[in-house]
Amino acid sequence: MGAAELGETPDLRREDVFLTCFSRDRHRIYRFIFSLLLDENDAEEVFQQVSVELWKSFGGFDESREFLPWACTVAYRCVQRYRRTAAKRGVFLTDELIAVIADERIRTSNRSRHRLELLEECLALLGPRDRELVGMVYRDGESAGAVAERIGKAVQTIYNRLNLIRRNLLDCVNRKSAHA
Amino acid sequence: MSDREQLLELLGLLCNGALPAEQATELRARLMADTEARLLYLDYVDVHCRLVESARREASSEALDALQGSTADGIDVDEAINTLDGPRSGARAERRKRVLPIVATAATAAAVVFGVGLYGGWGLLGVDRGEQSPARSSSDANNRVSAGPSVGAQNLYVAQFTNLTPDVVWGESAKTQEFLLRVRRGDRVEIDKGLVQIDYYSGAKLILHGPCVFVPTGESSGRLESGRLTGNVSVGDFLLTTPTARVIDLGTEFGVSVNGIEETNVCVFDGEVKVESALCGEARDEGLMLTEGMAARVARQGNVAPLSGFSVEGFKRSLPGRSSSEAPDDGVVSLVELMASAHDGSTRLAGVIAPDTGDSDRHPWLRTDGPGYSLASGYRRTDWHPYVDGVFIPTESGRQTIVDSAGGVADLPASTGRTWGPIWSRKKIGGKAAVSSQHDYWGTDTLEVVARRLGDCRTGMIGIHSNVGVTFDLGALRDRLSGSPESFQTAVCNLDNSRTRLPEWSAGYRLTADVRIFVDGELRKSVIDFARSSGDLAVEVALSASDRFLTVVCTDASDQDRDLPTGLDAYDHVVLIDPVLRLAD
Repeated sequence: MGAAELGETPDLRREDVFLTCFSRDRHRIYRFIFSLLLDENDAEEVFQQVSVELWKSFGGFDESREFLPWACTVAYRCVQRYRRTAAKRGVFLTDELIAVIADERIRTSNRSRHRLELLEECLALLGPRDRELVGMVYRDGESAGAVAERIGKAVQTIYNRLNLIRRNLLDCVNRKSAHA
Repeated sequence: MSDREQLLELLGLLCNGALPAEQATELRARLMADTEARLLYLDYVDVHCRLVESARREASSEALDALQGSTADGIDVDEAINTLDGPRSGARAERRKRVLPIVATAATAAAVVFGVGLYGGWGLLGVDRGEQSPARSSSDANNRVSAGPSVGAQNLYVAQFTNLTPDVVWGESAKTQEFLLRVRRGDRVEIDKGLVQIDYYSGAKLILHGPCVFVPTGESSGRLESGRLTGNVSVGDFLLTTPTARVIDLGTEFGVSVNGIEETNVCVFDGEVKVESALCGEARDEGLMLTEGMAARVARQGNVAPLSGFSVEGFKRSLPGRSSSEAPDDGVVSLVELMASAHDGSTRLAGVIAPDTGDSDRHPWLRTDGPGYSLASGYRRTDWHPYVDGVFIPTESGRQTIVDSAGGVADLPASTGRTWGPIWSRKKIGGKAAVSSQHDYWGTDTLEVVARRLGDCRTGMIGIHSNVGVTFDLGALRDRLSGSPESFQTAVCNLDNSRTRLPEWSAGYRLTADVRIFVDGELRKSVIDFARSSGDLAVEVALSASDRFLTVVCTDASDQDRDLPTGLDAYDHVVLIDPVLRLAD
């Protein structure tokens, strides 16, 4: 949906247009960045830069176009700049691969929008034990090793469980997507 | 392994931060070459990212709560962080410090101007745009799953009483013993007479010999304050402390007796045990390693000395009990007993299964607000269980619900898509050995009624609060018993106690439940719309030698279809009384 399709009146302030678009798509912009950096702290840092950049560049945005692809293009530039200044970060994806992944993401943005909605439904079904484990690893910042030691399990068991949680969520989204 | 499976494995390693360099190269090559691989990468990373966000939102939500609770004079962010983190780990505090500025200052220039943050939404500046963020939805779901403290929490169950002799006399501690016989770390177990077996979830099995006092202190540890016990530890190590000794079992069978604070005697039946003094400091003895047939004494002063000619006569190494794989004499198999079976086929006094995971349930029940809700999460196989094939919570629509591991499906009525507490079975224990605390809470003080009704049972009962289903594997039963069930018989009863406990509330509602019996996904019997006043309702379902899966489903009687308030899944405290399978001659 483009900004012009939002139904705003002509006197709606441009800030409000930006705010509406940005608030609607901010999680998807963050996910775009995350998929290129694979590190939440790096992604947060770049997201902050992208937010500023988007506002500063919004004057040049053509409101007849979709906001998200434009925002992702801006975000892609910020990711490249960030990688240059923080050379050790995001070592898995090469520049070439990042370009291909970013292109794929922008090309399939409608597909991912739909899947993310389904993912919310699947996430609500996550069992309390799995939710607890996710909290320990992701929220509390404990390493898998520390969690394993604390609850008396092998590290590999923790890794396996995390893999299973992600696989189950992925399967859940695929099932729902197939029935939709 | 298929290409997709291989790719998923690599992605799992990547997201765990454990991808070796060689496999990283392989993954890069596949992502460069294959569009499908890239889509899978994006889908998988989206899930990973969403889990990160979910956890971060929870953290920032707590931070927001702290900040919004501050005075208008100013907000001390560090103080808020410290308040939130309390005694928790430094890692968490550090993580919070990274998250909090994003929320508190909205992180970016744009966000500061407009009051928008990635996690904080609009709330901080008091602007309500009516946005229902995905985070809110899942947060609501979290709230509904009020399972309370779980893994790692202080009141976690670490063990369960699984067997006892008929002459058991419990001490004062029995008054607060959990109805499903699970034991938390720190619970004091007092036995005046008889033998009680306590099995740890970690694998250790202890037989407590009355009179004795024992306290489980952790997942694989306990303290014997007085009396004697025998231990069998086949998995991992077990640490037993006494007033004078530390007994470190290294995978073996042993006996320990404590004579007040005077001395501790340790003997080994099999394997290896290390015995040390419990004293600290320079006076502490080095300790002894004991192997099969050896014994040692740890005196009050802390010295550890070998014992020769120590009599092991008073130590009981097993309790009389029937394995669930033994054919019954009377041709009747109790489903209560089957459901209470351990993975090795031994029978226990109670079985507890979490319907949202299929795991042996360790969620707290002994709480003032009950065991909490669990949400529909698909069919959950219980591979660890010898006779239960799986469990499930029907979805809200109820349509095409998978009811067994062969993919059998059934159309169930619409419901709330959630259930209350675990699926449980509890054997009747007679005489002085009865253990039935009234401190537990299954809603509206229903356990009062449950305990009373249990006393009138022949074998025991299975509890299935709506909305939930449990499937028994008749094939597994045939394999073990060399006999085939020809019928399933039970009585169903709704033991809801709200008419007594909440008369004003219950007067305005019709509090009823449905029970349906399926065999291989085919509906064989329904008991519809029954309440406490309906009493015991007999159920019998004929079975053939080719029937494989027997499924019992309890739902909340489709109250929504009767113009009653939605979400009325409370007050459906349904039990199966003396459920049995009758074997063919």
